[in-house]
Amino acid sequence: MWIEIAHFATLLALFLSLLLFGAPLAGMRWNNMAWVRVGRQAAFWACALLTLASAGLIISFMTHDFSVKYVAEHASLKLPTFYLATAMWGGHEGSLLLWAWFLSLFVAIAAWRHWDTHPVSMPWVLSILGALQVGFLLLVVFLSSPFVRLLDPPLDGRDLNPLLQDPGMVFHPPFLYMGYVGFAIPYAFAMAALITSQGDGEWILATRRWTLFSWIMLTIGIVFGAYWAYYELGWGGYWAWDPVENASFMPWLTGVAFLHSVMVQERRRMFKTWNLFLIITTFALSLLGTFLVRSGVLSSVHAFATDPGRGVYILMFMTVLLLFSFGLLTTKSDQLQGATQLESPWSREFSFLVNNLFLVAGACTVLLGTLYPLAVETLSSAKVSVGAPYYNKVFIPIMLGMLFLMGVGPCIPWRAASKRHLRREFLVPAIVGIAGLPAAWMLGITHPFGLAALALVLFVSTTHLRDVTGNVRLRMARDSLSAPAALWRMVGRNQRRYGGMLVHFGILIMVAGFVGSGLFQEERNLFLSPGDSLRLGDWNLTLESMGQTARRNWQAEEAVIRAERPGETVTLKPQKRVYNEHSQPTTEAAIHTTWREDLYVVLGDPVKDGVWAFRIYRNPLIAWIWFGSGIITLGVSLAMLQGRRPQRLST
Amino acid sequence: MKSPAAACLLAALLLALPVGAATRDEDPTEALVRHIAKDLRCAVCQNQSVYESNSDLAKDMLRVIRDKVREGQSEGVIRDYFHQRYGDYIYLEPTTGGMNRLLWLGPFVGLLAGGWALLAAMRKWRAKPTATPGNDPPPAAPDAAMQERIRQELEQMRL
Amino acid sequence: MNGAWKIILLGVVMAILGLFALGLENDPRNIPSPLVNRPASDFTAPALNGGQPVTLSALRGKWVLVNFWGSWCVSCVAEHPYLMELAQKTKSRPDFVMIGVDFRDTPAAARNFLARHGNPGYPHAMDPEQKIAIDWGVYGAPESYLVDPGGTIRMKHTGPLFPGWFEARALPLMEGGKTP
Repeated sequence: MWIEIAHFATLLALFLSLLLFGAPLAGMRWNNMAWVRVGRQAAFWACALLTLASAGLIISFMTHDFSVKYVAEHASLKLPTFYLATAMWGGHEGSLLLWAWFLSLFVAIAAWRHWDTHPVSMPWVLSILGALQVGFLLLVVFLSSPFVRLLDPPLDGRDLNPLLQDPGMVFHPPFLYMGYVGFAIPYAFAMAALITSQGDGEWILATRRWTLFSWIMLTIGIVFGAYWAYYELGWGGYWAWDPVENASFMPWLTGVAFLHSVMVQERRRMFKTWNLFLIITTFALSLLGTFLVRSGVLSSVHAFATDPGRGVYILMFMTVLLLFSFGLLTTKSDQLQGATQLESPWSREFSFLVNNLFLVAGACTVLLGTLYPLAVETLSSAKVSVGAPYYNKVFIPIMLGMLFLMGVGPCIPWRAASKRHLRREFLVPAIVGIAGLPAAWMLGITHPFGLAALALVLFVSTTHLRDVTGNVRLRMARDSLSAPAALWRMVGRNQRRYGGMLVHFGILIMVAGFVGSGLFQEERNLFLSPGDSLRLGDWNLTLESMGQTARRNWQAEEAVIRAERPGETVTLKPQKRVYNEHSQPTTEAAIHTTWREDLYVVLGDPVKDGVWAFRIYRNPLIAWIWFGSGIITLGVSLAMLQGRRPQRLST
Repeated sequence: MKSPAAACLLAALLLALPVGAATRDEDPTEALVRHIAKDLRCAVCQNQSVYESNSDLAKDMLRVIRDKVREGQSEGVIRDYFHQRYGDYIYLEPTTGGMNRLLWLGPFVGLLAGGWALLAAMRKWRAKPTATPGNDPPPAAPDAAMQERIRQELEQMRL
Repeated sequence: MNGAWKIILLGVVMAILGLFALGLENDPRNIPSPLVNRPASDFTAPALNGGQPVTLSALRGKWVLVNFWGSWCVSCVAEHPYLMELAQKTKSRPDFVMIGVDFRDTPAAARNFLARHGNPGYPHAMDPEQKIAIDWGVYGAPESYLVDPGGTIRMKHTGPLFPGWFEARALPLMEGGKTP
């Protein structure tokens, strides 16, 4: 019953999306605002209907309606309630519906919030977003329908993929999709600005919060995914550079470029075309990645189950979108000639440009690495792999350049910096960074990238800290305030700037985590029977016993390991789980996290009676990665607090 | 019923396991096994290495690598063994010859070309005479609120 | 934006789209095997029926179809009727034999599979740790290799053999091979 309601609601939403696409166009053609208002109402109602449709699908899961094919394939009677509700996005069809629902929600919010403030561009914005929504809903309704009934319903479902029965995986997709879909709003405003030839940047001010929101959602989504890979896949790492991950990383990189480059347009009215290019690229990459993954173009060797019709449709959708966007950009951009006047390469404008160069080069590297195997396969008869070693050697140096610019950008003045100024700002940080090299060497970092990363982390944190302390001291002297009060007022007056700096600090913390876990991971691969012990770092681990445990829908072998070091004793219980409906066992790593390192134990296969294979890792500083991403979230939230209040020039 | 090879392996493992609880460390050959297996692709996975994947094929490939390392074969020989059977596809790190140069050098060439283009553009922009060295005129058609905001901003441009 | 940049931008966009269009045509199963036209590596492995061990080199002088399969493999069920038919049809050919390599499997499960889906009658080598399979560059099941009388692999087929495969793919090679 509910599934029919959901299906009908989605069909109606598709119809309303067509209206959302067409009515504003008609309104502009015949100069009748009533039509535009019809489009706006259609956006609201489409959102309500898709909310109903998503709820209908979730209710079908909650009521174990296995006559629905999608439910039967992604749930079972014993699946815990929490995962039952979230299984809605556990498969291709449902996650597309979730995507469409987010889109309609954001469109409705945009139609509500920007209606009064943007009367000129609103009809175009609505129409463009309507077209996108139509594109998605056509896919949901005709090519990947989650509403299909089975003629012969099974008594129990096939259960959710065990790897997805995990809190990390529950939250990973929604955040990622919110990030992807969120970029649709700034994209639509940018396109509207192009069409109406109002590229002077009002669209950037209007969509600043949307951009920040989308970017932080994308960040959180990516980090959730990495965290999930870390503790659920049991291989001691968190990022494998596979096409799915790369797909989310590319828009993240161009998104960062956009966030920086728009500041230049806001302040100096420059780079108008470039900013349009960046937001179009960011949104296009958001779509490209998902589509790449779903069309089956990039799949592993033995994943045969892809629907050719879906791939063709997705390609057509992408073609229309890309040609429309970039075609419009190339034909209309000449009308946007800004008053570009760069006075000096020693300026913030120029450092942001170089920052953009590095970020776009980084995104292109990831794109190249992702598409290269496809190109080789298509254009020749060979087949190649591009894996982590490639990215470690090519992508990391580019990002090291980026790290350097991160230290320069916020502290170099706009327009032109004098030699004296440069010396004052950067001499001390440079000395600190270089002095860090021998210290890093003594710490045991011998890898050139590790050394460079550490020196740059020191350089960047020194520039940032000096900037903050300098300004605090200035305020303390000028307004005779205490240090915390001065800091509070300074941050309060310019949340954008200090939010940005906080994000930079978060990145630095993450870089420390990357270096620590990347260069100093220690691992042991060995067989243990109860009573055996081993040493790893300053830990002494003893396998105390092996046992079994079970929950509603799985059984597991469980090892009990006592880990001791001076002043600390913990018990670790890694598991090897077998879910009822799935034969492939999953590993549940046991992780003991401290700020210094993670102790990470994976239970492998039994070797003979009472002897088991184990993999034991010591991952230094890995918690810093998760902590750093939290700081980034705080920083972006701070920057979002500040509305359109003008920014103040500092120093 | 096990194959003789499997029986041998099992026997070897059992011999390697001393009786009774003890402090253990991993087999000294394991570091080389890991080093080799981390650079070979699990043939059925999406960009996961043989070492990191949980798939059956990866586990068996790891076992083959381990056997070969314990037989005393060198890294090069073992890598060649897999390359002969699975082709370039098996290397997670693509080779540097032929077409793959595009992959390895492309990003850096792009970066250099971009840097060069930036500097060239910089020269062009600087050559352009700037009418007023002061602030840019306000945008063409903003509403009154926007004008007001810009005015405020200009006023506040002092710390 | 000047003309050169426009052309580059649109060119890149078109190239990526073109790549996808061509990529959709790609059959992911069509992986070229570097083993084709190289000597097949020999193996001797216990037979599923418990009789004499299966040795590849003992079949020199005949074309050998080596079929890698497992009772756990779904596509093998789809392929099985054709294997039965092919075995029946080529029984009388003096120049062609078939063997199966049952990998990552237990004898009990494999016998169960053959009891359920029919036994084509040719011998199966057991490869529980897929040593032979890895030695032959196998990705998954089913995969089949055609070995010529001289012991050289002449063709690899990834995925289920389709009805008419023998006539369409194998015979031309076999007949061409006789008169080089």
